Amino acid sequence: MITDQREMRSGEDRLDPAQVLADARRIRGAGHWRRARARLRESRTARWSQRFLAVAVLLSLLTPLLPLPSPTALDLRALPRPPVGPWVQIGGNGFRREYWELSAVDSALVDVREALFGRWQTGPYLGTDSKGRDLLSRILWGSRTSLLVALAATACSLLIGVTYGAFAGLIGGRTDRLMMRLVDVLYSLPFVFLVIFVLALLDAWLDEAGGASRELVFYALVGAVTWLTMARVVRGQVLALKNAEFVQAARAMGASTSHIVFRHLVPNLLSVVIVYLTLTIPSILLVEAFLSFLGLGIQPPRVSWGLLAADGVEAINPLHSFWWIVVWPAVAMGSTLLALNLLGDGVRDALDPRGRAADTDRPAPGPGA
Amino acid sequence: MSALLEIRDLAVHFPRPRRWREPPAVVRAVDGVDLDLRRGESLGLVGESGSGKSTIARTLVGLQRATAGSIRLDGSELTGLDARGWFPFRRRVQMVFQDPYGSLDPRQTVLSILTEPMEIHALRKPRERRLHALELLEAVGLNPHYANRYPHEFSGGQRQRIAIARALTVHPELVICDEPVSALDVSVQAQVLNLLRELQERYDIAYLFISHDLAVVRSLCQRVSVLYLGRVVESAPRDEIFEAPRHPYTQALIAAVPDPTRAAAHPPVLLEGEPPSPTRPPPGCRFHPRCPARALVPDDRCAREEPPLRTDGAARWTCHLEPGSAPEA
Ligand SMILES: Nc1ncnc2c1ncn2[C@@H]1O[C@H](COP(=O)(O)OP(=O)(O)OP(=O)(O)O)[C@@H](O)[C@H]1O
Ligand SMILES: [Mg+2]
Repeated sequence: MITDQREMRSGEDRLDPAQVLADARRIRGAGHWRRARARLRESRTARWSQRFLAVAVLLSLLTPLLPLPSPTALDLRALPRPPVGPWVQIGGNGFRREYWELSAVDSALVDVREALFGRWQTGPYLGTDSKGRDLLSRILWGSRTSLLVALAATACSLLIGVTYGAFAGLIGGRTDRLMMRLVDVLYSLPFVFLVIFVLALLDAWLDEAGGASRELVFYALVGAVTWLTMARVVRGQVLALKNAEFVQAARAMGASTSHIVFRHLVPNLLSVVIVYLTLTIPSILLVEAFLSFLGLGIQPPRVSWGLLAADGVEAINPLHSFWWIVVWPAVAMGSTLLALNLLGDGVRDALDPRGRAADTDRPAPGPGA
Repeated sequence: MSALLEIRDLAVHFPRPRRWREPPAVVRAVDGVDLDLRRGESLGLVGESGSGKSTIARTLVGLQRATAGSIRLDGSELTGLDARGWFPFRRRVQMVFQDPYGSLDPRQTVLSILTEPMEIHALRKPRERRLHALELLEAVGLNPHYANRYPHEFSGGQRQRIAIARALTVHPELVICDEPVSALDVSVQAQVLNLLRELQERYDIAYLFISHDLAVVRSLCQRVSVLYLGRVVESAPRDEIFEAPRHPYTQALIAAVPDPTRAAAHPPVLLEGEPPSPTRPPPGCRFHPRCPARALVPDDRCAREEPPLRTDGAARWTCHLEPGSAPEA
């Protein structure tokens, strides 16, 4: 390990200073960010996860444009259909706006779809569920809900959690103690009961305001709990970093607080933040699934992956095996979460210059250290 | 030569964490220290663990507020300055920390570590900062081609070279080295010390060199101050400290260094006991509970009165014992 200086010089015993200067003009700075990006590009897993997620997000954003059967059109006469043809149907239900509240943008997209495809629509590629609704359509429409939940969680974790934790850690002292006490209190509230409690409390008002605001309350509640862990983690890191010797060194040089925050704290915090984010998103998707399953989250006729899972459970019965009703939503959710985790891992590794099994490379401090 | 740094009566006290049913107390980490440093000179600061060496260093670079006393850099008073007032002096006084693993940001490349101080002090244009950083990398014996590497890709000695280069990027007049080699392998220590010496000649820097390794201090410093429990007990040119130490504590320190050339006629004077707590320093001379020469002073003055300051040429020390009245150590 202790190979010292001169051998790192390329061959010559003493470099010619003029030569070095000439060389130096050619040496380009490649800062931490640029090198991190290069490392991320090198990772094949991260690249494929990125592509998968990009496609998934794109599909879910453009769902109204696709010639899918209506996710809500019932066909109660038939048994669930397995994923077989016909591959194209003409004159199906189209998209039925009366069952679905569309935002202005989505409404415009549906207009485009109707102009483009008319009454053409895809067949039950993935089969239909027990009420005769097209599964592919339901998975794609449901992904939009899950995407929204993930976005709400990410935004709250990043905006509220990181800011709150960093602020508490930087200020320290009594402010820090007070702020963290609040987090402790919020932490100790059981989330499911909180949701039930708040929804029950707001029930009358929500009935007047319609279904959409019920969802809004749900997103707000998800946001309200996801930032807590992030705030704790970030605060702990900031406390440790604040006393790190390289931060002290920067202070001794006269660095301002904002210089220290952006030059030292952010790069050192980022990988931890990303790790926790990739842990938070899956868990919040599962929470959504769980609450929707209990009937506390997303309400029919809207779809979410959680509701699809609930349908899947109902479809399991010993007489008929409607495997597709269980399998496809599970595949969709599983592959998305896997891609998220792999991407998170990749980004974390790219941000850490020491790469994977890094921490072992620091030699034990010598005597007197 | 003009005085670069003048420290007078510097005190740094820390409030001790409150304990149940005990009155609040302070830790007198530094308690009345005088130090003088001329341009281009290196002053060694030695003392046991907990004697306040690092606290002095941190106070000099503005990481710690002085409780009392005065710090003058080139004639300007630093204590009492606010952050804005202190800022220009931060360029002139730089610090090299003990732990080269902790003092470099693991997520910055060497180049950005080296340009950071210039950015903070708005020295040079960005392009010239890079060039200067690479020059300094060369000056500390590292290949400039490694500028885009991260600290973890270097050995301890190399990292300490990077830390030294970082300190030099803003042309300091004084570099404070807080045990810069004690975390390093012995063979690497010598190389880093040589580098420090070389750089001192090249850039005319003054060092305040903190160490508890007397051999290291002897090889690098022209003058030495000995710290005991937050006070300087003896300051003298290097040769006088090592050949003819005057204060009993210094004598004990020197004698504790194994030296094959010293005759067996001078058995080492070994210190007994632990250094007392800086929360309640002993009255009188702070060293008296452990002092081997205490019996030679009449009336137990050591335990009751502050020892007087004695001078002899360039040496000064504080002791009740009359010079020459003790058997030469
Ligand atoms: N931030 C602080 N708060 C409270 N007490 C402190 C603080 N920093 C230092 N001290 C105390 O001040 C005294 C001197 O500490 P200092 O670190 O200056 O010693 P040192 O001479 O550098 O020792 P070492 O050789 O072990 O590095 C010690 O008793 C220490 O406990
Ligand atoms: Mg120390």
